[in-house]
Amino acid sequence: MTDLERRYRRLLALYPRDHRERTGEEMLAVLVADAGDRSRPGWRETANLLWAAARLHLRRLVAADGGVEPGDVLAVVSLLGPVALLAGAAGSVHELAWWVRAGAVGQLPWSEQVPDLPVWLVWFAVAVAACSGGGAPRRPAPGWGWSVSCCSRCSARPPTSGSGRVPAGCSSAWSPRRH
Amino acid sequence: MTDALREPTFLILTALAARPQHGYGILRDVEEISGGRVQLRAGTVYTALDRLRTDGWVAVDREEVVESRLRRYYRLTDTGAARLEAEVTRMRAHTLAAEKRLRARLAGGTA
Repeated sequence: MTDLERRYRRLLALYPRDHRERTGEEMLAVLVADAGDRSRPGWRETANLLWAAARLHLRRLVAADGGVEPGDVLAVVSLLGPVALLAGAAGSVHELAWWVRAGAVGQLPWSEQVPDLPVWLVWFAVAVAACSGGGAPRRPAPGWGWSVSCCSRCSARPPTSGSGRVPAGCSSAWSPRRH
Repeated sequence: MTDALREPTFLILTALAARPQHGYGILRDVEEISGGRVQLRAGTVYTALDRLRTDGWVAVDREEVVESRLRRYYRLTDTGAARLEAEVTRMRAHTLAAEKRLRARLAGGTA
């Protein structure tokens, strides 16, 4: 098996199981034939395969024929988890940038500078487990990721705007906690 | 009234209209049909084929093993041919209307 083929197989592993079993080998033949002299998939080809895999998973999720594979649901949830968290992380980064601009980042406790760090670390481990292809840690990994995320959210303290941590000269109305 | 077909779908159905083709053949034929303007990728073609098979517009014609690799040929079904024909009729009507108005524009000066 060539290196190119191995890389394509890794990408095709992201497809829904039924699609992979039915057309995986056929797709691989087309991809290899279309690759020409390349030794690795181009970024456009990679993006196209990832997008197509996501669309096929989504199509199966919303299909009304009842043929939904639990493994496929897990795969989509695993994919959406980090995306949702990254979207949420944008707010934290913005907040951190605000404290830096205010020259008060030293006043902010480390745990509040990056409040979602533990959750990000868990999801990073989930991503590594998912990409490694190992059987044992792969299946329960998204479950752990979501459990930690939910616990983190449930135990999060309510916003504390105007609590004294806002730097001098800044109106509490512009506290980043209110974003 | 049926929705207009997306361009990749239209081109894939067109590629299969004359004869059954395998995946790589569809890729190359679509490029030829579009004069090199549209270069579909394998992910797009197989996502479309998945949907077209589910809708009954395309079916597997036969399978071959060439150089130890599976090659599956797809053909247009009667339902798919009827849908493609409906799309061609719709596009022709639009094209004729556009031509007619362009001629009127040239004859009567710009509006």
